[in-house]
Amino acid sequence: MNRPTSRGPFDLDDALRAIADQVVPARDDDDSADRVRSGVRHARRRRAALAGAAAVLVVVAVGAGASAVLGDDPRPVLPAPAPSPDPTPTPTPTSRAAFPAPVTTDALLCRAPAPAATGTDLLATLTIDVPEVSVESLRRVDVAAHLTVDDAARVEVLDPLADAGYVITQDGVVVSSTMAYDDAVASPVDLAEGAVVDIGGPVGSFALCDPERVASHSPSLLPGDYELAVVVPWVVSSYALERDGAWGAPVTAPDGDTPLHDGWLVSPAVPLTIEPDPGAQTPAAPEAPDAVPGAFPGPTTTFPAAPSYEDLQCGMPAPAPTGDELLARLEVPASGGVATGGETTLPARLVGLPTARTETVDFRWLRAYVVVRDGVIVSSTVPATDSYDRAVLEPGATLPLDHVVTTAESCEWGTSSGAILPPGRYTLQVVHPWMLASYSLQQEDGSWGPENVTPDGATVYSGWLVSAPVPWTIS
Amino acid sequence: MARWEDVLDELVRTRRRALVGYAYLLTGNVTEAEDLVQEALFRTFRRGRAATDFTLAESYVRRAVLTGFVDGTRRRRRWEGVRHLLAPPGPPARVEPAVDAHVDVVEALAVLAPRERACVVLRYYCDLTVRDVADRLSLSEGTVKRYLSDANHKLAARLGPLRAADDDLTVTPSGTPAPGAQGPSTDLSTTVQRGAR
Repeated sequence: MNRPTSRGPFDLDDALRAIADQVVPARDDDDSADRVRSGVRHARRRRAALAGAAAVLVVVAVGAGASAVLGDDPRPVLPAPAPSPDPTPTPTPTSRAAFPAPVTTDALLCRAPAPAATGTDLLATLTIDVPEVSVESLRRVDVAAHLTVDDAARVEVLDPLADAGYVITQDGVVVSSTMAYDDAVASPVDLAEGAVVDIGGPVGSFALCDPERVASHSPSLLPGDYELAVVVPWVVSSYALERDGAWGAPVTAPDGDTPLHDGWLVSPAVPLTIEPDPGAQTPAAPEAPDAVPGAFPGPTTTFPAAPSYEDLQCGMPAPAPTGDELLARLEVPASGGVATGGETTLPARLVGLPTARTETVDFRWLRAYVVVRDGVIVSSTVPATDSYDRAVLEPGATLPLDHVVTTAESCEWGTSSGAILPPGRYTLQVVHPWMLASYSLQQEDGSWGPENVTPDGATVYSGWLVSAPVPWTIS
Repeated sequence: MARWEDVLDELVRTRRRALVGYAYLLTGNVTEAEDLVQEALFRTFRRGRAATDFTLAESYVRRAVLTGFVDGTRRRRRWEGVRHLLAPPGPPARVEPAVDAHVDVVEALAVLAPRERACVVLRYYCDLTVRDVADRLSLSEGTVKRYLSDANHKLAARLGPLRAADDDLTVTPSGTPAPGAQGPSTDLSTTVQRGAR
């Protein structure tokens, strides 16, 4: 439903407050507090327990006469220093000066340079278990990988499995990434020395270039050769190192809150091949040689230059109607008229080309039109706006887009200036943002071509659908 | 009893309902709102910094609620893994709005994208300035204005012209006022959109 359901200004502030005030939690406050208290105690005990356990190790080491005299000053331990020829036992380095610069989430997002594999200086490494990966277009494949903790390190980290993912790169640039900004809860886990953690998971041939996770669907990667690296978060809150058979003092964050290292482990990349989907290229009806009316000779098409937002503002020439070259058209079947100061509903519809399937940024909620007189736009409700959903228009589908048009003059970036268009004869054109995320074309043999997308996930075409002008009279 | 437990008890006793109401405006679902608040409480109190000051703790919880909502998809996935630990089983999940008198508003809010909805709630319910909304969501002011403008158009399409205390949402290509742009508007159906496209 896209038309106003009520008249008169609606007080949003009051409505929101009334709604919030009327919400009654279904659960009891005491129970809620008890649950949180229990969870917090558990989390705090866990943190304290790790430090305590590590301290016990220290005591045992010292009691056994080990050479490790453990100080508080961080000292480098990796790579392992050569054994000292000095017969006098010296304090063995059991903590590191600092971790290397972390691989940040930013560095793993789409369009970032391909990340380098992280090394052993993070106390763990990540490895993909297969030398190469191949997946059919639009399919998924399970890729096994594992995390290996250094043989001489024990770590407490936020559960790396909770956010395991991957990046796919091509030509040195990330073109697909499961990364996203996140501040969610991940449980701390203790990983013992030499621990091996399986990091298996499905890898899809889908470009998830959507760091804000606002799109409900992402375009697929085109068939081709890529590289795949598995990544897991590596948020180290505490660690202990072993040297010469003795465990060093646990190293924890100075304030007990900021992790010692907050980044990602990145595996060495392996080749990833996305094979074409054989089904998409198999003629559906080889026994029917007749060409499909309106079918395309190839899997892609060329789009015309797109009108800009500014082209649809007051004072600009009347826009040229768009046609089938954009794979859909806007139709306004009837002309109309309205008394000055009034409004009327103008039926309009979005019609998909029967031989094209499109996926666009969803602007179905938007209604915009331009009023033209003497070849010049005199009113335009075209807003500059954005949307983050996607909408699919199936071949030949029709979507009603009725517009309520008024005689109000809108020449201030899509909004009414308060003036009224004078009586007279005008033409009116409905416009609709048309941002193609992907499209697929029916071929002359009846088969459907592959889904066309851009490698970086950007829109294939960004412009506007413009209807043919219809006479519109203000009386 | 530790200091943080006192603060937790007081916060839950005196502010939980309001926090759930705030979260409900974001989620549109009472159960999700309660889960969101529960998770936010845990996140706030498992660390030490904010847990011993009531005002600070509530502020942290509100931020955690907002962050949790905006990061919804992954948050939900993780939350489902630990929900049994922190959220009591309680009554069956209620998906209907708890506020029958404003079903139309709740339904209208449901069409907004998460960040649009967050902007609307922060701006019109929390009475934050556009600058503060931008700060909370780590967005530019222009982006917030665009979100608000988009949201207002969507809401107005369902609720009719809106009236809300508002400042100028005009965003011009160069950052200068649009031609004819006026001061604070009281009719959100006439706010100007001038975004990235």
